[in-house]
Amino acid sequence: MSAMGPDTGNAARNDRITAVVLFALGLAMLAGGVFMDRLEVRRIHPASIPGLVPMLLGVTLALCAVILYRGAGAVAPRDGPSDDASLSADAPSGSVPPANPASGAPPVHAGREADSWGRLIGAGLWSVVYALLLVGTFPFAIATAIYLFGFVAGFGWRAAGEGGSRAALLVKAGVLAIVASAAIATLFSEGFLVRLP
Amino acid sequence: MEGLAAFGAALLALATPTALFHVAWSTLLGIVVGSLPGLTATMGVALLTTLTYQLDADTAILVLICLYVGAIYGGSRSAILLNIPGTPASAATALDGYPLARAGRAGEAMAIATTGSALGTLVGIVLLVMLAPPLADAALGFGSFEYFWLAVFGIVISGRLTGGASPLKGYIAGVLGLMVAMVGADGIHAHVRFEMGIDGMSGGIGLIPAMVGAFGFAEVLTVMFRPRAALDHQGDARQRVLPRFAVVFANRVNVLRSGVIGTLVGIIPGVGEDIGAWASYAAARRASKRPQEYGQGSIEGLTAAETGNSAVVPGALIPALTLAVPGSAPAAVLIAALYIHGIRPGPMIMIEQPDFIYSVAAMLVFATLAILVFGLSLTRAFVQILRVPRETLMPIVFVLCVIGPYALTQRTFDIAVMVAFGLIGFALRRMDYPMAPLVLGIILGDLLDKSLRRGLTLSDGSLEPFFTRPVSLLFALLTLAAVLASVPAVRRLGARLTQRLVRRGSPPAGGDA
Repeated sequence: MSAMGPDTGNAARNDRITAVVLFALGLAMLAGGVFMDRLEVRRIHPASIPGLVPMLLGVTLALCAVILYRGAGAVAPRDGPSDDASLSADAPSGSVPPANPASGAPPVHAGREADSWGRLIGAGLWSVVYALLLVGTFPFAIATAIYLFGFVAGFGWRAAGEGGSRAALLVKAGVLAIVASAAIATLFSEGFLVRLP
Repeated sequence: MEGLAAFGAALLALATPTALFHVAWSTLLGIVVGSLPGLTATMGVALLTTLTYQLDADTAILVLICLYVGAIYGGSRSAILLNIPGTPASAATALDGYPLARAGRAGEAMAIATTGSALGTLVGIVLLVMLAPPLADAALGFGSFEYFWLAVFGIVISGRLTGGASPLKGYIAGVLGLMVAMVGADGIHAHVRFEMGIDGMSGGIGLIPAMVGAFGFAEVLTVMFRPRAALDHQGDARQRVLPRFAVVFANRVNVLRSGVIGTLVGIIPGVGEDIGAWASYAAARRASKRPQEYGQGSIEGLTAAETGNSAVVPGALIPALTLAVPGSAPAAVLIAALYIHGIRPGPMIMIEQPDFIYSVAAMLVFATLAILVFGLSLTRAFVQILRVPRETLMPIVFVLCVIGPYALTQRTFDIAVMVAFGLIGFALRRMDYPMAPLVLGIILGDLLDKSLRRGLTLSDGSLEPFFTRPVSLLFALLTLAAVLASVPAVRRLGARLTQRLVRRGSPPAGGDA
């Protein structure tokens, strides 16, 4: 993750902010467990109250948050296969540093960082709008077609302007949107008998 | 002998045209999923689970296992050709595979990766058949006290091993997973907890929407964040695509060692394929006569990495089937799929469905044969797949992330869960929090909660049996050791003691210079 990871200063700041959030979450969980119904009317064994484990988890998380806050910045940023790629069982594929940095995939440079954030925010927002707004408002196939067209056309726009034709991109996005949305909607509604949202 | 007969019968039962058809398409799909950067084995298994709920149980499990095996193997394609592992499991593969491709030996590298993967899975299958039945037998003696510690140990060891430089983040991820599992009706009194007035929350957070979000949507965001990778070695794939027997034979010890290491890593709860690959790679390097070649295009290194990651698959299924504790993230989804299809993993599996473990082993054998056939025959075709632009692929993946979890329960609430876990998962990944302990926490939360409270009820509130029963004590000590080993001061003390012991045991300085 070294290619796209925050530097040590940012990592320490992020850790401190996260620690505060986690501490608050731990306290909330603890309070939730303490004030949870103890089901005395059902005469359950006092050791089996539903809030027991949430209380313990709340305390554990708060404790971990304190340790995280105190140690923020003390841990070196992960670098190299033994600490990053090797030990992050589910790190995003491709985030692994190149085997040979001199010959591998290009790292994210400062100029590209802004592009990366732009793509991330664009993709994230558009996807959330699709999942939480378009689906349910429009029939599934239409919502999906709008989303696919917007995504393919939006993220391919700049590249098409540089080297290819934007008209061709729009046609490609349109065809993909219609074919893919129809195929997915048909598969689920007819193949799996799902009542689509 | 009985086991061997059951295994043989399972192989024969699967050798039907319909089953072979399912093996073929699902393994091929797995290889495609694995080879595309941005699609991981966990995401593939989670999404396919949502598509298989109408199939009969045996077919559904068969296609999920084949996809799992195919995806872990498929990651080697982009690792070799792009230096970007298709799945995290192939990170070690890139280390030697990519230099080989740059040296014009991409075809050879892919052939070695294929052979290594197939042999690694076979080693793992042998160990699965040997270890799973006795482990299930042993687990029959487990009570609430043992299960409580097993759940705690699983979370701690997974956090310790996947947290990298900061095991604390692994532990935090595990605790967060356990907290997610506390939402909804509790397992003993059916009291609804933390529903916060939201109807959907009273049923709890579903594992599948959570995993599709954490591994699917988060992956889509990660891929879009990353700069575009260039496929600049496709021409090399036109070379030799069959492995040389002499090379395979020369690596026989390497394959066996890596297969055993990979399987054992797979048995450890929530650790996974990438660590199996790195552990095998490190062991092969230590044992090698040419360690200086590692990282420069070493055939031994490539073999060890691919054998190691593939052997984790059967290894991860051992605790998944016998204890209902997943050895890896995809195995966690498989457990959920087993429940969906009416199969109850756990110690009772050898009593309720004694042949099931052998059926799974047979499914793995067929999946292995399929990766061997597809891997060696379709090398050139897979290069074309890598050319699919992410702007086309990622939105389709996201559409499946939306409709997949919805299809299982028909609740729009699950779409919101998927989105929330995707955003949180992406943020946590950016800050180096591993996802495996989180997933393990969601899976084991109910077990931990029920076992602790049931155990305390049985002992009338006493903690004594948690520390006096032999297996409980063993798990407690292992958990304590894992936690202590992650404390820097304890680690330094341990290193100092080891150094002192080594110095005491070694001959005086200059003695054999």
